Amino acid sequence: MSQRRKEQFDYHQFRQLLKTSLKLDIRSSQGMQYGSSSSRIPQVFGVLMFYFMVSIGLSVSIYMIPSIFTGTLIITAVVMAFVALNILIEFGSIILSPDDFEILSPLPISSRTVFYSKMANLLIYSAAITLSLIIIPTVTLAARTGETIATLMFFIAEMFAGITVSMIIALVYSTLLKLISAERLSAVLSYAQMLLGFTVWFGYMITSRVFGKSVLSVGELTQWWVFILPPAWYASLMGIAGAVESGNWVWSAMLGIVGTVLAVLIGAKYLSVSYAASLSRSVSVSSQTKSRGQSAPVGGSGAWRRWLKPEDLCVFRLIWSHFKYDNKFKMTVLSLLPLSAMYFFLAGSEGIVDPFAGSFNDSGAFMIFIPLGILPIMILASLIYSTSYKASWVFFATPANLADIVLAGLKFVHFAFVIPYAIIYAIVLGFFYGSFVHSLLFTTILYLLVAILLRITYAFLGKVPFSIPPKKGQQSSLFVMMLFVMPVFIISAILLMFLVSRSNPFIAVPTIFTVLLILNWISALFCRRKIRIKAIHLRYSD
Amino acid sequence: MLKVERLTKHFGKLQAVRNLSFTVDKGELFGLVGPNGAGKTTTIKMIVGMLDPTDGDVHVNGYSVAENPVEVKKRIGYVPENCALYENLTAREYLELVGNLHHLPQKRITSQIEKLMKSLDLEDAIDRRMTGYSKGMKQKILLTSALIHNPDLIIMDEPFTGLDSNSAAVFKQLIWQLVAGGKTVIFSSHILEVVEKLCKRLLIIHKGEKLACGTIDEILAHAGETTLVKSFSKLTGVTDVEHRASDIIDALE
Repeated sequence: MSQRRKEQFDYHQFRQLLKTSLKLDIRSSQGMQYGSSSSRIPQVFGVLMFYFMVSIGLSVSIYMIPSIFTGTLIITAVVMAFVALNILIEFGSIILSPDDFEILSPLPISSRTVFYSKMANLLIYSAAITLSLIIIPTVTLAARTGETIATLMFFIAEMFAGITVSMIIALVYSTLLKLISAERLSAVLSYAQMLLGFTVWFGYMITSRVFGKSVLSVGELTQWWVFILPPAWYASLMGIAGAVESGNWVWSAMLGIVGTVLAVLIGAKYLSVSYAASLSRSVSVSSQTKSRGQSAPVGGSGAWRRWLKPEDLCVFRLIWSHFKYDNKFKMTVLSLLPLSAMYFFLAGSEGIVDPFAGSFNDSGAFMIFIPLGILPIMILASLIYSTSYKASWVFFATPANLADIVLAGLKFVHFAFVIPYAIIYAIVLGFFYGSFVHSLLFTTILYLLVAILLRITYAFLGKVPFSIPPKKGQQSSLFVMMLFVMPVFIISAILLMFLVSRSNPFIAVPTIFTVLLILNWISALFCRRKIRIKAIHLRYSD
Repeated sequence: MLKVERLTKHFGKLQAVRNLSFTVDKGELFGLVGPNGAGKTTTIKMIVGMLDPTDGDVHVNGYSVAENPVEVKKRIGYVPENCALYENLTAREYLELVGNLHHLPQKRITSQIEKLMKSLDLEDAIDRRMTGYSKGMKQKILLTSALIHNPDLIIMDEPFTGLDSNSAAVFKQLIWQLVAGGKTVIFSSHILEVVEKLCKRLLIIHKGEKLACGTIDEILAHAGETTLVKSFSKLTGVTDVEHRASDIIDALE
């Protein structure tokens, strides 16, 4: 056995690395780096605050649901989904950090020590998310039952669930680091992230729809198959407090404990040794593969030049290059396809009705509006951050119009996503409505609505594309922001649908079109003006 | 002190370093020279244990990098080409981290930091986060972190990049004094004048292969030229410098 395989864990170094990584997490996520948006409050705290607000909703569940076991089960499922989603979104800054490799690899630290410190950092992060999600439900449960053991078991169950799910995700990634050849590592990790994200999101959607409508009146769940579900493994710990009727809780809780112990042990013993070496190969390969391919001249054909500014063409070219060579960005874009298909499928299963035929169905509408309402904003958000942010100096050092550069990002999303999506909507809705004229009319209304929202969002969010380094908490805070923007779009869309279906279409449709066109004009003016003012304060992030 | 044997590194189909062998003795000042993309940084990264070689091995004081990387890293101080630092830490915090990772006693870490920062004119910036540091300041921090544990072998990758002339002069003097004190120093550079002035022996690599290795006189004799610049141009096959410059001017017009 080589000496490398005998690398030992060093507690002193571990403590120093963990202390430093936590310090960096807090400091590196403090606000944006330039302009008026600078804030000294770490974005990690913003994310935790959001989860704290979600926990208020969860505490209603634990208070209202008649069965304590069922309430715990639902909260555990939500905790697992949120922790998993957060770690998937932030994975680039939690586990895979080429910066760490560049700085730490020349120092006399074993890869096992580095990996342990990373895992400890991850556990603290996921424990903080779990805590912020369950702190109010725990107090609520204590007030409801007055039982110390039940409260304690609830707290332990949720913490175990949060920690286990984060460890499992880390293990999946680390196993990939061990198994996949360096040449394919970077790409495979991105595909794995997309697949995991899709699985978690889809699972969350299905679970919430299964329990969603009557969640507050669900009684004690005693079916054996319920106890096979991972959230039930941890909710079953409530059996120790005598809060589970079915005897199945014993083996289910054992599964949970064994699952947690195995996840921690395997992570600690099996995967640590080759982590740094694999990461080193991945970093080397990624730096080599980035230079592949032939570059077409910026500027394109003459026809484009008439409609687009040189800044637009540069940004379009930049985004296309990122799509080809930046796996994270590519996966963000590609993940929209299965997500859209999922929402269309769910909407179709609820029933999509034609508002021009006087029909109205808010539940189907909710699903069908999500892809157009949220996905282009996801792309807009992902246009800001990149590990290649240093390359953005070119926009600051040349006479390019910075405002036009920023606005070009919005144009790209408009041309590459919103318009194609609108066309797909027209086709899909036409199929369900049975009238392509109706579908075209309603799609145009939706298109005008989403254009307004995109411009307003971009007026606040817009930056020079790929000019900000990715930091912990930023992706999550953008995700949180989208959760606030999406309901605005959906409620507006449902309201419009309601108006169309309940009033005389010959009056309602021209009125709606006129109002939306005026709002589009105002939002365009607002966005341009806001971006031009912001552009004056934009600085290069070195 | 350092023995490099048949060192080879492939990145996919690209052969970054091919079958490279050389030795550096204790107390020697050794230069690594080559054009851009020659494989200098890749070679250095394999010596310090940052990259695993595809083939071959490196021994430092008898320890193999492949077999015992931690022992090798204890004996090396490395100044990287890019300013890889945790910039959200202050200089003091970063240097304390490095000192602690080397298991130095806290007292020694504190005194080393104070002394080194003072001699590099960074005492005023020591408790500021490094995000606002200039390239030269960062380079000084990297140098301090490479020296803090008093290593036997110091490896510097393009150490003069970004330094002002005063700092560069301090760096050159420091390199001399380190060597005079018995340390072994290896550094890579594009600047042949500096290499010529500082180094006793040097290695010229091109496209990952060794072109020449020896004292300056041996290299001049090998190339059949009178200056190191001419020898370098001849060995790396770039003899039409004026013609190339004219082509660029033509392209501008």
